[in-house]
Amino acid sequence: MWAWFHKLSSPKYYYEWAGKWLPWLAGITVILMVVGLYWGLVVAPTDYQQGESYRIIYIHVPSAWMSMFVYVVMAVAGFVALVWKTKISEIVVSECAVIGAMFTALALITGMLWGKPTWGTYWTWDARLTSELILLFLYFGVIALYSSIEDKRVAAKAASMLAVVGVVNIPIIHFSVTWWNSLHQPNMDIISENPSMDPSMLWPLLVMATAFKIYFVWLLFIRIRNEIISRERTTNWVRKLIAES
Amino acid sequence: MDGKWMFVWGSYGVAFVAMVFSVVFASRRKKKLAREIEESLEE
Repeated sequence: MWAWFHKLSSPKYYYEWAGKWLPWLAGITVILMVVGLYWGLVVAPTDYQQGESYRIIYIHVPSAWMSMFVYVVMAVAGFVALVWKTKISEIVVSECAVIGAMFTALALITGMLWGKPTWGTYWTWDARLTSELILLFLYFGVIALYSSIEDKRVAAKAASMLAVVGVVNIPIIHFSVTWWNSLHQPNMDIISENPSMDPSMLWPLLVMATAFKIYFVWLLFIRIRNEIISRERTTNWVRKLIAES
Repeated sequence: MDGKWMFVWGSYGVAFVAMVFSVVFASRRKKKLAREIEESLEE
């Protein structure tokens, strides 16, 4: 197991290994998205209180979950980069920051579009919304730090430190609706025997959440492979790869 | 179909554009990188 992880930290091995997964990840993402969208937009019943606007849940909640999940992945990679200084973990930090920022922006925008018909306003300085906005700024901070330092090894070290320190915001986002009075709905219970959503509405949400996770891995692998090529462009194996393609 | 669908389609539209273009841009970057490396090899 450890030997395999050690092998995976080699850019050349990682590039080839990730490349084998790309078509599978693309296929599974598309299938799950199509099934989830059809189920959520067409099959799932209309909500008795919110009407059709509740269907934003199938894009908003997976985006919000991913915004936090990607940050945790980035922080773990940042920790590995600081302790073991592997190139791949450094690349994971920089690439997760861009993808995480996209998911966070999506969670905020779709939340605003859901807030207007539900709360009557696009934005309020609520604890959940504000902590999610801080998450977006943390992602921007990691991206800016990584981009502003020319030496990519030094840049990755600085970005990793911010990623690790910023992880403290994740439990704040999660528990914000419990710790403070919030306009945002409480956290959903999806794992107990009596989930807070009816199964006819919950299942499409779980399908979409899975689709978003696979999409993340797919996009991350594409971006990591790009960054490997960019960083290793002077090595023989990359030159050979480009010459053969 | 009530007026709330406008917000639903808006959300899905934004997400679709962001997610699809992220993959498209990432794929295009690979081609651009390959071209740059090819040019440097020819030099």
